[in-house]
Amino acid sequence: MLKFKKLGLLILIASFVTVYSSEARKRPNTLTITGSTTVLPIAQRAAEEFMESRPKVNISVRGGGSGVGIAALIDGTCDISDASRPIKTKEITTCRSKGINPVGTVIAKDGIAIIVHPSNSVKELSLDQLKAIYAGEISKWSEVGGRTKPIVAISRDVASGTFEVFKKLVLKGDKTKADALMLASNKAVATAVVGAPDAIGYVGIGYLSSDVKSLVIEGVTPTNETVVSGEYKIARPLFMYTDGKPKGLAKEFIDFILSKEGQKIVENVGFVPIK
Amino acid sequence: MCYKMEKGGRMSKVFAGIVVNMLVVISAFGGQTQFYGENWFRYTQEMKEGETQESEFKVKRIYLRWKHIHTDKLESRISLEMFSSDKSKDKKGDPHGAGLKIKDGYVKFKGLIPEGDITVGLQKNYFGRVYDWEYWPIEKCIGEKYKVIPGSRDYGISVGGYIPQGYGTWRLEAVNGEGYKKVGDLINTELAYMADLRFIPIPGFTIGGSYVQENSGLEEYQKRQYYTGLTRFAKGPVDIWMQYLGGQKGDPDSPTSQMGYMIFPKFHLGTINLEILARYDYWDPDTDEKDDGKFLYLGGFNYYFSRREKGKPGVMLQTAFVREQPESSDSEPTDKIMLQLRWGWSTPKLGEI
Repeated sequence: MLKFKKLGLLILIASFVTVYSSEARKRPNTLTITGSTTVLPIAQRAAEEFMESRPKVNISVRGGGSGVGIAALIDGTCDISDASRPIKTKEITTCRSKGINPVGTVIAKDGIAIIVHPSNSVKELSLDQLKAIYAGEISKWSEVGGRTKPIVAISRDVASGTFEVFKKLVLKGDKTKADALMLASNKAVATAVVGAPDAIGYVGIGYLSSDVKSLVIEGVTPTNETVVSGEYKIARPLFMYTDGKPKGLAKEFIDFILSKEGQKIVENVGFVPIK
Repeated sequence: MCYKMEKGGRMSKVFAGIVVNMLVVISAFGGQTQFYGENWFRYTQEMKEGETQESEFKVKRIYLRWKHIHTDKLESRISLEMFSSDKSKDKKGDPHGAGLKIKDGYVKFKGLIPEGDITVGLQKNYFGRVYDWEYWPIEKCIGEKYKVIPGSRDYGISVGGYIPQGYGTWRLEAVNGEGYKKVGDLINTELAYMADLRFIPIPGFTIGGSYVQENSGLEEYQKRQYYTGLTRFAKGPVDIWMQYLGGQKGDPDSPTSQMGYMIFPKFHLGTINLEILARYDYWDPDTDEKDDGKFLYLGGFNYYFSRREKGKPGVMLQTAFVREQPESSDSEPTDKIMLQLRWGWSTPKLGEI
């Protein structure tokens, strides 16, 4: 019995030594980033430029979704977790129970513009009208001051982060009407609206062009300035979460994204810079 | 609810068919459905006094789960449990070789209370570590192993949620008190009441406790009154749980007092996907009796061939050496070596981008 206890104690001590020596082997010049596919293009482009100026640094970036990123932060398999939504109480609880203190840094904002064909006479909608259009309660443009034509509602597919935001901020949890056209990308929505004079759609603010007309919502035009100031309501912050305040290479990388150069990348990939 | 094969293989097939069809129909009516599966393939060798007591491969468990998110505030879940068993027999007395149970089946109403839910149906037993035990050391947790709680699931209603800012969890529960496997002849007319609280004052440090009480006219369930206190320390690769369990059961006029404790450290070597585990238990089934206790020593490791993430499969090899040593010096220990290949998969949750 005594022998067994000694053996057990020896295994425990050996385990501690092995664990800590293995942890010490973690390379200081590597960074693993996992999470939101919405934030993915920002992280990818920023990583490319960051590594160009620091040849010894290796950054691995992958998507999977905000939930997957936060799960990776909890498991210790990533250094930065990208998220297109604030962390949930359930996730904070799991983090804290496992010794992780999740701290989020806002690196950009994502504004969603409501677009129609340039020939459409409607210039402005309220959030209630917009919700009624997508819920199927308003079906003709004449009900919101336009021509007597049926409204063709175009939405993003349910797997997209843009749809999640639209559902939360506009539909308030309600479902999109059954005959709404669900498309797989911002570009596809914009293209569909260009080709359909009676269509309405929504895209990330970076996808606005002269081919479509963006509507004023609740009296506010969607611009980078109104999104950052919070006046424009259909917008969300994009986060990078770390265990505690960012430090080391993670801090350098996040500081780079928040720099003038990094915020230019944010704008170039279709999001709203916060600085 | 428990339909074993002895109640008729046909019955089980019909029942499984109904469940599958029902879920397919539910999936077609909107919302989001997530499917999940897990399989435990185990080899056990048990030795006592130099004699082999058991040496066998078996499919210990297969779980199939359907989770359906109807709206942001309403979700439901059904899990089927399948297992190898030669205990159930057909009319000729031949073993069927398998069993089928409903592991859980409930509806969760969210948003009725802040950061919480009301759950109705066959659900987890929120006592000690019973509800969040993930079988990393293969063996059951102390509360379930020593039958303080009759099973990991039970029929009832619970209300609970999260303490704001991630400071912990709480739950109150009323259940039948007989566990999910019990649907037989003895119907307990008294409910069991449970309360559970976990508090996380600082990241990595958890303290908590649970309480369960039940009174019943049935001999089998006359009285149960148990409490447990637990502490967890987790930081980086280290995760250590400690749990104390005590209480009484039996005749209310002369109940049997019981106590026990468990220490369960786990070390994770993230760089090579390996976990090293150890566990030490003591359980005294009657504190008035001398030398009737039992020690459990466990050592082992888990190796992840691949980790399971949302929408991706995971495969893990678990190993454990277990010694159960009776407190009495007259009794010989029982040694067990267990090897388990455990694999699981799930479909992605839509909208989780």
